[in-house]
Amino acid sequence: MMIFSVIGAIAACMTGVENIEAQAGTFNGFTALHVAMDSEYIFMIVGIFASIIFMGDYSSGSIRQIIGKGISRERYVIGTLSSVTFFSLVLLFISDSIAFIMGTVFGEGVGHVPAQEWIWPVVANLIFVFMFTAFTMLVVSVSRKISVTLVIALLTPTFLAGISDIVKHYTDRKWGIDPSSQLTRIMKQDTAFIDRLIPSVAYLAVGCLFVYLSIMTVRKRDL
Amino acid sequence: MGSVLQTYSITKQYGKVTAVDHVSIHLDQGDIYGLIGRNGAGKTTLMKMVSGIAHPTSGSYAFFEEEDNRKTVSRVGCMIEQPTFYPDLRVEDNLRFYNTLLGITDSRNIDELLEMVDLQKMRKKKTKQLSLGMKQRLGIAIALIGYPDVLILDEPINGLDPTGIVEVRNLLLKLNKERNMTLLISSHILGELSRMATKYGIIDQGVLVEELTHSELLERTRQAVRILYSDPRTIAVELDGMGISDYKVLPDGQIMVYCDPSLCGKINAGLGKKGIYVDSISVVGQDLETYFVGKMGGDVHE
Repeated sequence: MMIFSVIGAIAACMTGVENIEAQAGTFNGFTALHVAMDSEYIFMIVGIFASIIFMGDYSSGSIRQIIGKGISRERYVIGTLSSVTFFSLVLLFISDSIAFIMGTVFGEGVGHVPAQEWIWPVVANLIFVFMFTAFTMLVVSVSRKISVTLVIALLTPTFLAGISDIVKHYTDRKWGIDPSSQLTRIMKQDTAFIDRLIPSVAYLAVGCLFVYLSIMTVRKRDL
Repeated sequence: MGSVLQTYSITKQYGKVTAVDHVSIHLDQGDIYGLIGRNGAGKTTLMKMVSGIAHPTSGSYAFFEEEDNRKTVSRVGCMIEQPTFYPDLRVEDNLRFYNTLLGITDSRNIDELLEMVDLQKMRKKKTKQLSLGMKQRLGIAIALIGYPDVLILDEPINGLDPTGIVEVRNLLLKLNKERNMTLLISSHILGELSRMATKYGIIDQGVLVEELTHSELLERTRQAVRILYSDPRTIAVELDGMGISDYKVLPDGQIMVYCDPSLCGKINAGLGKKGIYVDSISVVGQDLETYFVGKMGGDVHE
C-alpha cells in the first residue's frame, strides 16, 4: 500500500508542479495537497489497488470457501466493499500527506487556505472513492478477470474527464463529473452551492447503484 | 434417525449441457454417503449446489428438513474442488481468519483442529509452502471450523500418499463415530470409499444410477459357488458335513454357497466322492470394481 501511495503522490505532484509553474502560481504544502486531491493518477492507483484486492478472492477461490461457510453473498459484498473503501481512503490519505510534505519541504512552506474551503472537497473526494471502489467491485463481479478490471480502473478517471469536457462544452453548468476538475471548482468562492452539491450527490447515488448491482451479480452467479 | 440432507430432483444445466439431471439423494443422521462416479459425472456440481456455491437450474434441497437453507447453512462445512486459502497467510492465520468470519473468539479450537489433521508443526508456515497433501488436510481443518453437523468433502484424499489416505480415513471415521457427524464424500477411488461409506450414490453423466446401502452393496457383490442339482437338500446335508454352513437353497434346484470361489473344485470333488454328480457348478457374482464399472460403463480405478 505504501508503494502505491508514494507512486501516486509523486506522479500527482510532478504533474501539479508543471501546471502551477506554467500558471506562475505558488507551490507550497496546500497547493501540492490540492493538486494531489485533484489528480487522476491517485484515483488510478486506487482503482488498481481495489482491483487486486477484489480479484484476490476470486482467483484464490476463497470466495467459495467464505460463502460455503455460511456467509451470505450480500454480507460478503458489503463487508468486502467497506474494507476496500476504507483502505482506499487510507491510501488516499497517505498519498495526500506525502504530497503535502513534498510541497512544504520543496515549495514555499505550508501555505494558507481557510479550513472551511476544504470541508466540501474532502467530502466530495470520499464520495468519489466510494463510488469508484463500488464500480471496481461491480466490474470484478461481472468479468472475474484481472486484466479487464485493471484496464477499466485505469481508463475510468480519464473517461470521466472526457465526458466532463463534453458536458462543460454543451452546458453552462460548472458541474464537472470528473474529480480532477470538480475539486478546483468546489473550492472557488464564486462556485454556486448547487454546482458543488450536484456532482457529489450524483456520485453517491451512482455508488449506491453500483453496490446494488454488485450484490445482484454476486447473488445470481455461481462461484 | 433424522433426515440430514434430501435433494428433490435437483438439476443443473450449463447451456445445453446437463451436468446434474434430476438427482434425488437422501442422507440420514450419521451416514457416510459415498458419491461415486467418473471424472465429469456431476459429483462436484451436485456438491456445489448443496453447498450454496452454485444455483440449481431446477429442483431443490433441504438440510435437516428445513425449507429455508439460510437457517441451516452454518451447520454445514464443505471443501469443494481444491482446498482454498490465502497463500501468503500462515496456516494458523488462515484458520484464525475463518474463526473471525464465524464469530468464534476462542482460538483454542485452532490447536485442536491442527492436531486433528496433524499440521501442528506447520502452523507457522505460509500456506503456499505446504505440500499438496498438507493443503488437503488444511482444507479439511477449515471445513471443520465451527464443528458442523454435516461435512461435504469433494475428493478429500486426492493427492495424498498412502499414509495420508489412512490418516484422513481414520479422521473421518472418528468424526462420524465420536461427533455423529454426517459425511458426504465424493471419490473415484472405490477401495477407499468402500472402507468408509455406509451408503452409496452412483452417478454417471449427471444421472443418479443407483443408491444403495453398504450391506446391499455387499450382498450384490458377494461371490458364490452356484450348484444345480435335482435334490438340493442332499447337497445341503453334504455341505454341512464339509463344514460349510453359509449357503442358501433357492428354487429350481439351485444352491448358492457363499464362500471363497477357489473352493469350487473342492466342493465338486467332495460331492463326487459321495456319488453326487451335480448338473452344474460355477462361480457367480462380481467384485466391487466390476459392479461399479458395470453400473457406470467406464473406467474406475482403485
